[in-house]
Amino acid sequence: MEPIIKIQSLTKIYNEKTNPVKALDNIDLEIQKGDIYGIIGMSGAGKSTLVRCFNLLERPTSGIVTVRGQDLQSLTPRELRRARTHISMIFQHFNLLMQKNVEENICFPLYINKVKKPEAHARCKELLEIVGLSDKAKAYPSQLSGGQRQRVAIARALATNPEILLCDEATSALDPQTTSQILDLLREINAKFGITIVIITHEMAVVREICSHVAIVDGGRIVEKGTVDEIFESPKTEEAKRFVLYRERKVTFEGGQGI
Amino acid sequence: MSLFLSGGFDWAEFTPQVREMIVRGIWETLYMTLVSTFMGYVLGLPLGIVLAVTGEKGIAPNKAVYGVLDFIVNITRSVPFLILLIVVSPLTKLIVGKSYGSSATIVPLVIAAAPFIARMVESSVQEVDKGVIEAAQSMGADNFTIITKVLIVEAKTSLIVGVTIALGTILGYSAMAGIVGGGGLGDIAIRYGYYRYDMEIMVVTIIILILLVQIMQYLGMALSKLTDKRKIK
Repeated sequence: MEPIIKIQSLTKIYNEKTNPVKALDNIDLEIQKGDIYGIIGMSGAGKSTLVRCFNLLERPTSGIVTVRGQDLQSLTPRELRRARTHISMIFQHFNLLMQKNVEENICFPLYINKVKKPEAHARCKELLEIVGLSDKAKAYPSQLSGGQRQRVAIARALATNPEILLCDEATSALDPQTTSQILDLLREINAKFGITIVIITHEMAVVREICSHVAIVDGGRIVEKGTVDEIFESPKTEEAKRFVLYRERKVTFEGGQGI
Repeated sequence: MSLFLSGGFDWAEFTPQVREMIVRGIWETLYMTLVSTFMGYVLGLPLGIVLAVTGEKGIAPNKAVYGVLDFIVNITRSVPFLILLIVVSPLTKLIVGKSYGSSATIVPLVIAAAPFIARMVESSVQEVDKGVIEAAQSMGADNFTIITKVLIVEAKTSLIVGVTIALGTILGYSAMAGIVGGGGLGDIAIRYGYYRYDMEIMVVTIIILILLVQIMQYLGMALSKLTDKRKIK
């Protein structure tokens, strides 16, 4: 089967002219439809940059990004915006509109897609039920806890019925219990709607709890990838071993701040 | 004159004519300030948004556009208001038909206010969290939607504070226009107080100016607080 996300020889270099920094170095990656794919790495490894290439928030310096059979870099700006409605994203710091209430936040991507208000509100109601926040439609993000804010962000991300959900350190700002609840919700969404989920994280526990596959990123390169079971049972590289061992010792790293 | 000579405040100065003049002065001052601020925003709001959007860290960086607008704004802001007032008087005459009075003062006021307002708008818009902009982009929002539905909405509180600052500043400028017969309370303070040493009238007009600024400041801050949903109340 054709993978839903296919990355070929992807390289990203910042400040090409003045002071080149290679953030991503010749990355190849295939993610199948319905996978929960973990991308793990330490702070500064390039994982946030990598995931931003999946919806072209970052433009690769070279390489090909194919999502849902479309070569994203060949699209016109309008076609790219259209394609992005199928590739939703959630973030470490939730990135909600702080001046808008929960309902308006969730309806925002619908309004972008010219969905009429009554229809959008009906969809919002469904989404709030899915994420378990039916009573918070009129609340403002500032009145919600971190876990609740991330639920709103997830509802917002699901509004347009995307095929892919990108999670950039989505649980890094949450406590372990809330993290676990959010991961349960993501698992449920994956099972119920068949949405492919990509999880960027620095915590092996997150990968272990929810992911089917994992790629380990270090120094802008993928050093090892495979099913989670494979990597845990027989890590081949030093970096992979380090991650598995660090998990045992329960040492965590500072998360990437994103961009 | 009597304030310093007799050592007391002489209410006899405030004949019905003087009182009427002061009331008219209040209206003229409010008229100049409000109309100029409004017109200043008509020009300055889009200008400030374009500056923020085309700036190096904006959503559509454009060195050429930013460079030109940045230069124009800096030039206009560098000219002292009194000089601007005199320099643009031919233009004022062309637009309003005369170069004195409160309607005429609006022309230089707008020219002085627009670039200053543009700078405040630019700074308010730049404060909007980059993460929220990125989220909107990830949903497939185009730049126009991001400007109207994200930048202006999220910067709302800061923009209202900006309006408050603009009102106070423009009111101050309008008083300065009294030097060239600009009308309003500043004109009265200069003509009676400064030229004719009529301290009572000067003091009263200045107190009214202070009160006007205070009221605007209070209302502006109350409104910005009311519209701010970012903090738990």
